[in-house]
Amino acid sequence: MTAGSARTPRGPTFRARFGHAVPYLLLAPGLFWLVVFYVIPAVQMFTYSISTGSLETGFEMSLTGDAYATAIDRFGKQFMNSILFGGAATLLTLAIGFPVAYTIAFRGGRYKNLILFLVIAPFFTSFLIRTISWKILLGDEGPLLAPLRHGLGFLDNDWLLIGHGAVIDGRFSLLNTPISQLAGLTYNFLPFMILPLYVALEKIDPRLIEAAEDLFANRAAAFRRVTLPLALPGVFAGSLLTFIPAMGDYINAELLGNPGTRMIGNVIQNRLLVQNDYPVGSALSFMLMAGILVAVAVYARALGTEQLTG
Amino acid sequence: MPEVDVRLVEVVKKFGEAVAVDHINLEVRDGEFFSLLGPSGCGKTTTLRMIGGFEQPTSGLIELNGEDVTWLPPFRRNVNTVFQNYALFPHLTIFENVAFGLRRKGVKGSEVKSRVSEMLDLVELPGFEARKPTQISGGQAQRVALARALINRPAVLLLDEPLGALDLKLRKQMQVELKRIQQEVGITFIYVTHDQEEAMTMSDRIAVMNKGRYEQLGDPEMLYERPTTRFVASFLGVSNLLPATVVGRDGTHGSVSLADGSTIRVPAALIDGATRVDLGIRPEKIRLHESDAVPPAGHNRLAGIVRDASYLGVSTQYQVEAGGGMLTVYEQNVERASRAELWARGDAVQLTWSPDHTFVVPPDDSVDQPGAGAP
Amino acid sequence: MSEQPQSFSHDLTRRRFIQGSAMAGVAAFIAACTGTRASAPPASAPASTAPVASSSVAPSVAPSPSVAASPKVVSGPLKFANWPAYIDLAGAAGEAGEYSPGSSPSLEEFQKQFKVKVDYQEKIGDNATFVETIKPALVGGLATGWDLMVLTDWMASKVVANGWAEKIDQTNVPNCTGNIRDALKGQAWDATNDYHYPWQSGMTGVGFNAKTLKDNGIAEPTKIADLWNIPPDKMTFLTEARDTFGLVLLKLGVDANGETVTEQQLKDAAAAIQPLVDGGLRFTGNEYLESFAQKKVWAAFVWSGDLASSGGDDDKFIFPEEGTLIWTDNMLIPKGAANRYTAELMMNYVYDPKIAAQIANYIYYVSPVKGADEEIKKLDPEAATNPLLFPTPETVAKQHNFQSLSEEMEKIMNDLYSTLSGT
Repeated sequence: MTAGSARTPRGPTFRARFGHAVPYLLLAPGLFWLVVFYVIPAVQMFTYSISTGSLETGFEMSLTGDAYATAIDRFGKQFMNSILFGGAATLLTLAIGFPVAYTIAFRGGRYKNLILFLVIAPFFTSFLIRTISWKILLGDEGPLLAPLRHGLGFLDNDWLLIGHGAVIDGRFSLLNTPISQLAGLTYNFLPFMILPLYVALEKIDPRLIEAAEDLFANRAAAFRRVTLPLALPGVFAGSLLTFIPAMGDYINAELLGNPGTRMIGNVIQNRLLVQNDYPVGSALSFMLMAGILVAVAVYARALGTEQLTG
Repeated sequence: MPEVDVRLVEVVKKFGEAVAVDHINLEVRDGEFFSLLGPSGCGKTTTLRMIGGFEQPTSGLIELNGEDVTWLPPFRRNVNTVFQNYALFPHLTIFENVAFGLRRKGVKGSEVKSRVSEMLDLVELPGFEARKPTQISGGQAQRVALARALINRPAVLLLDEPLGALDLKLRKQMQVELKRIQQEVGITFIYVTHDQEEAMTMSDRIAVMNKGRYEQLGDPEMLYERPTTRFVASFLGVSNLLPATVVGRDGTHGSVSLADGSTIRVPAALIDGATRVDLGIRPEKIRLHESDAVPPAGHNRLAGIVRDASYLGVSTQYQVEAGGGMLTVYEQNVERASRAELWARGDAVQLTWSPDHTFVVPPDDSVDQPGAGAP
Repeated sequence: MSEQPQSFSHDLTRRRFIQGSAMAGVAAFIAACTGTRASAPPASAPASTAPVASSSVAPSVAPSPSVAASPKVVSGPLKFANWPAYIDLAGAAGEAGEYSPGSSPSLEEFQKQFKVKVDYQEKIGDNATFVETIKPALVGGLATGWDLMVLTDWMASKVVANGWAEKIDQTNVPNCTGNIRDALKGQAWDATNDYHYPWQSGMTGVGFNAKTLKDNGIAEPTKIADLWNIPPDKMTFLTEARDTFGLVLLKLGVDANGETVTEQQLKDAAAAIQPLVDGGLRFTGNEYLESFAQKKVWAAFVWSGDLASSGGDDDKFIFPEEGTLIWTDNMLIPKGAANRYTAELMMNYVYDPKIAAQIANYIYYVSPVKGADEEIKKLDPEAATNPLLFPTPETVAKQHNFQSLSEEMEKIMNDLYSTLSGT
């Protein structure tokens, strides 16, 4: 460019005139998208959330906050379920995903790409189908429980009291219990945890671990003091990618849970699409969004990610 | 402390079928600056990693202070390493990087603090405690890596091409610095490098490695003056090698005859029992004279013709055809300082050197020696 | 039903609300691209917002280009959406209790007779969920992809009121006009059967697996109240809130009458269900058949004919002592249907008493067709005494209609149900 610009006066002129606009031009399509498909709907949704009325009578802005009051009043349990199930699924995906990502990153060798492919392979099937298949898998007469029930029969006992919903009168069920719902969530979001973890772990120079061991850290200490802190950005990204959608998910609760395990996503879906209760549905959506933002901020602080980048 | 700090006995390391280290026996003395020198792939780094515990030998024995450590993991060895790209922990401050080993050993707060600042003083980085590795230069990172290893007062410090990533000027400076620090702390250094000049500058002893073995072990002067293999002669400095046949001996010196029939005197000990040898002379040992001049008494002499001359400032490098081959000659630009006084292409000259500056290596039978004259 | 005019204006409000002019443009664009016929240009809908006085003329507002004599040409395939266990089956499909193409004798006969393919799908598990899937198309004035669908009274009335059904050309359905049972005529929401003909009538009662209950030492239920003695996580109630609330009202000793039910009664019913939900009770649509097949459910609120036609040997249906709920499912042609004439032929075909008898005698529901009774008795003399087909006077005496709730009560009930079902 510099060499060419000496000969062609248009180059520097063009750059001088419009060069500063280039970054904005590059941003423009994304900004346009964001404004049209995020900002405008968000504003509209906020408007609904402070409105009253019904589809029949029309909605009017009332600035009362009634919808928020209803949302808090009636759906506290579902909010709590979202936090609990979303949180538990995130922890489980982390517990399951970390060893997997670690193995792929450090021991994958020439099978690295194959294993990564296998991790994302379930995505070739739709989310819904995958979840429905868990219904079959975990069913009372499904491939998991049927042999246990008929082959061994030990599940038909009173001592296996795992908790509310899991065992009633000693008749063991997995489907439509908190366990099946959590299993579904964990399964569905596992790749979202593994991939960022893998990327973070893969970036770690193995010599850093050698250096730690050289400096008298045993395996565990080297992991705790070096590998884990360096993988934290991956843990952070993976947790967000898992927690946020898991918290808002309603498919797993719908198909694998029961009325007592419904999450806030189910309520929003029902309020907006079935009952056409736009104010409460919008208020719930906003509260979910705010809740997630707060949770992410707290989490970021706790993990100290800003330190890592500094 | 025993005299021998590190001992390798018949150590072999194979990666699959490939033999990286082939039956090495080494003894590194307490407090010495010991270098493993060789081209890439010669097995020097693998040897170092086995001493550090990062690789297990396929067979053989490694002793540290007389204790068998062959199978001990790195964190159980009183050895520390300065890694090639420093391997500083990016998430920790300089202070915590340096303190890492102390903390693992359970050293407590105030002592850690004083020892870290003492160590940062030693590497001339006081006041860098709070910075992150991304906020310092390569040379500074190098010093931190050194401090991080030395603070643990290891029996042996292993350095894996520690200066490889630095630019030439900084490298020279750090060579001096490393030597100073080594002398100050009195710890045994085992230093891996492919840079012969670096090894010569700092080392007490050098093992020149090639193909998983070391070809010659000795102090820098001995390696340079009396290389015993073609590889060593070529890898350390520039050598002129000419094929020769042993013709006889008289007392302390013997005679060999070159391809053009001229006779050269060499120290008798070098040609014991040999019939065919390669004769070696370092370029700076040769002096050029007018073809009719009388050479100093007892010196070897060869007639030659200058084929090329390159003025290098401090010296002039000539290519002279003599003794059945092409010889490289360096002449300090002292007696002949101006260009007009230099030898010119086509000049007939006389080459002379002291018989004691002559060395002898086994004849060139193999084909895969590195090119003569390569640094 | 007096609420019809309101329902209609509700439709227009909804349209204006959801789509806006941009949406209408998009819909028209999509329609143009896909070649599907948009029966009512959405942009024109808001133009006529004036309330309509009488329910019977409600749907006429949406200008329907297809009202003008549809060509009497058989076209196909006829896309027919129905509920599970609602058609006669033969062979392996009959064993499995699940429809597969070619397994229904009556549908096969129709295809042969009219030389047209019928794409029959058991897509409807509950009214709301199914209508939810076609609502966007209906609101946007696009074809739904279906030619014929079967909806229960309350939902059928809403669909008709919203102008989402095609008018039936009565000249094409002589069997229907002639054979519909008198009791089913004159529904408030479509008094002259301009938009619907009943498919089957049935009752909501209690179903259970006798063997599982016995294995677990539980007595077979005879009343709705007995269900409160069964582990709730082994039971399902219906996502059709009318059925669930209606039966629980009966359990509470309240007359389950859609027109007289009060808010307090609905709340009492919800309070009675809540402990079961806390114990793991779930709500399902027609999928309860799967649950019975998998022995996942020991007892449930079910529709009368299903277990008899598609359940296992141990699956029983009872008319609970407290009473049952009666309802009728109706055939409707959704707006914009591509094969209207064929759909009318199908309506007419199943109103042939012989065909009606063949279907009813298989699925064990009550046929809306005059003369089917006689045909059933001819087919199967034993069926004459089957209370599912021919409810006894005692059963009839205890039948309750919980279909026609006021909008206010429906809203309250939906809200209560919503809380129970966790959403």
